[in-house]
Amino acid sequence: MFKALWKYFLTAALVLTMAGVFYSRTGKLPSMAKRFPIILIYIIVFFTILMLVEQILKFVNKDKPKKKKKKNNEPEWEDAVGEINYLKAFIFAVMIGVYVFTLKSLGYFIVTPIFIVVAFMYLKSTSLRNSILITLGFNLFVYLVFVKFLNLPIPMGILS
Amino acid sequence: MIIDNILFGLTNVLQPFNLLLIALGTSIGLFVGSMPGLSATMAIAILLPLTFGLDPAAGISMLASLYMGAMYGGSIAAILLKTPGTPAAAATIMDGYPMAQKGYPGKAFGISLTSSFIGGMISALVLLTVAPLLGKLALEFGPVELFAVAVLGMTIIGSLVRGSTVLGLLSGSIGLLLALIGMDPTTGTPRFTFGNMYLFSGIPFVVALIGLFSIPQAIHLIEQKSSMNTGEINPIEDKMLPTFKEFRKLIVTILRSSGIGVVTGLIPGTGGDTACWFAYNEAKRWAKDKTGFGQGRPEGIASAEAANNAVVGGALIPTLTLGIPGSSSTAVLIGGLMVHGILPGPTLMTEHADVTYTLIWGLFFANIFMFIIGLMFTRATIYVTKIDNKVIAPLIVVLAVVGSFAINNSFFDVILMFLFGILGYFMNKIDMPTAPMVIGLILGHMFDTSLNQSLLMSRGSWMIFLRSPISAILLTLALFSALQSTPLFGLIIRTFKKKVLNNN
Repeated sequence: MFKALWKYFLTAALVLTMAGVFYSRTGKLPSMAKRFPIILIYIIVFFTILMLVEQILKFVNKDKPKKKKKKNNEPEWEDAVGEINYLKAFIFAVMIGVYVFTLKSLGYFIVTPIFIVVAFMYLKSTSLRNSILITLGFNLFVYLVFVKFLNLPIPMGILS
Repeated sequence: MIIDNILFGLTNVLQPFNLLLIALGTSIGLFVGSMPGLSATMAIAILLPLTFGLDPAAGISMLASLYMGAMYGGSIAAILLKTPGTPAAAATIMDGYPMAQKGYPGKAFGISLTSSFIGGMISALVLLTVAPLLGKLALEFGPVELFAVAVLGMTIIGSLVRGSTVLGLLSGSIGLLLALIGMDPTTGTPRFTFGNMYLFSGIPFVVALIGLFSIPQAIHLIEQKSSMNTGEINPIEDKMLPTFKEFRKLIVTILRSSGIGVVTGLIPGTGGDTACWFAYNEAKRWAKDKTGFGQGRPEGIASAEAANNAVVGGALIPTLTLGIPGSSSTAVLIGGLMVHGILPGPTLMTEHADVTYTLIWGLFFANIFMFIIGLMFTRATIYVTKIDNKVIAPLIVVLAVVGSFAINNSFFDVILMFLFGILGYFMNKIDMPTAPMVIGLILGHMFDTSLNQSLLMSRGSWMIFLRSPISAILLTLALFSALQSTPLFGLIIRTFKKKVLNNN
């Protein structure tokens, strides 16, 4: 059971830890400032326990034969979703993390082209030539719209 | 006063620059909607920073137009590829795809466009007439009633989202708790800031929603081994617009479905994805001849498309009058108002009437532009469905990063956006909806302030919430909405029915 429901046990552990940390911080607050947070923390703990109970009940009842109630004509596309590649998702998330954390020191106009081209190459989105062309075009678009037209800030990093 | 505001909104929206922005928003919506895997909410979230440099009324009207355009755009992939561009176009597949397969894709698009146009116009008209009246009523609300409205909104959203009610309510509660980070508005004490000065002003709501709606979607686009849009696309060669005879046969279905869409939109937590199926099933139920549904019946397309566009105006009614977003897309629109310093709530219809009425009129013009652009460019837009998701995903990330930085010129916000993105991804994996969390982040401040004000008024007595009839009714409804989807409630109803039957 633990193997099948590990995602929910982990979620419950994380949520309860968060609730505990927030609760420990309410001690120093004036009574009026802590009233609503404490109510919310109790509600969160209650729903977290309820979530676990619900998932355990679902797991226990999983093998029982059910009468299928067809609400509407579900289209076939729902079954057409492909198999999930978690490794690819993880590596892409790490790439986003590296991009975000290097942005401050190196600046948008250095890190972004590298991120886009590397991501395109890793995901096999398109050829290297097209990757470079898309990157140049996209960055030019961002520069014109954000910097020139809307006067919005862009992190410049070492170029500033 | 209301008439003055309505006329002011109309003159404001008619400015050429505003019309240009509405046309631009509609075109982007059409583009985004036609690409399977991209949602209107995500597009509004990542384009929200674009409105910083614009007048709030013009910027928000552009985003609302994007929402409207995406609703029609979703039908393009549904009709051609049997894959809905947005979840709201899921029911369009049932008859749109078979009609296209029979060699009439143009006719399917024409019915979709006409129904979307009428549905959108009706919803904008309802919004223009109902919102001012409801807004006037909402102005009478004090903190007690506002607290009850917020509780009702939160429980409805939590219990009506797809999947588990418990997960929906848990997500909303976490959102509310996160919204309390920052200075307490009543006592001025820093709360849950952990000594971090960036958190003193609270979690920037727009940063959180950019992260929650864009990063999970970008990762989702690349994590699937098989790409969904690989099929051959035949060009549209037949006529698009329906003839008057065909239109006359469809008008009742379109009007009924528009009504369903508006009402569904009004209920917080339900959106185009619910409305399209509801309207489709009603079209089938009301049809004299029930054969042919699922094989290319025009009524099937008309019902789904009129309903999903009618949702837009309906969802904006609680958003603009009470500050309770009717859907995740309208929650993001509220974020757009908040970055301009406009707080959601009853004052939107009075203090910020210029923005609100321009937005309402903007919806009318978004429909007109959607119809014109749809007629002119649907034939070209079909090729957009062929763009590989793997090209789009990194670009979404870049726009999310640029947008989150632009809000406060802060790297902390970019990191926060990324963390919310990762949180959103994991929430998706356990089927915990992100929309209630976003709405919790919006309503947290209103909840806290109205609760403290009410309890100050009653010198700490919680009975104040039951003394006001409006509040008592709303809180009872909230209790029922939370309980109705629990197994316990089902058990009580079944036992009660059994007892009644036995007694008889």
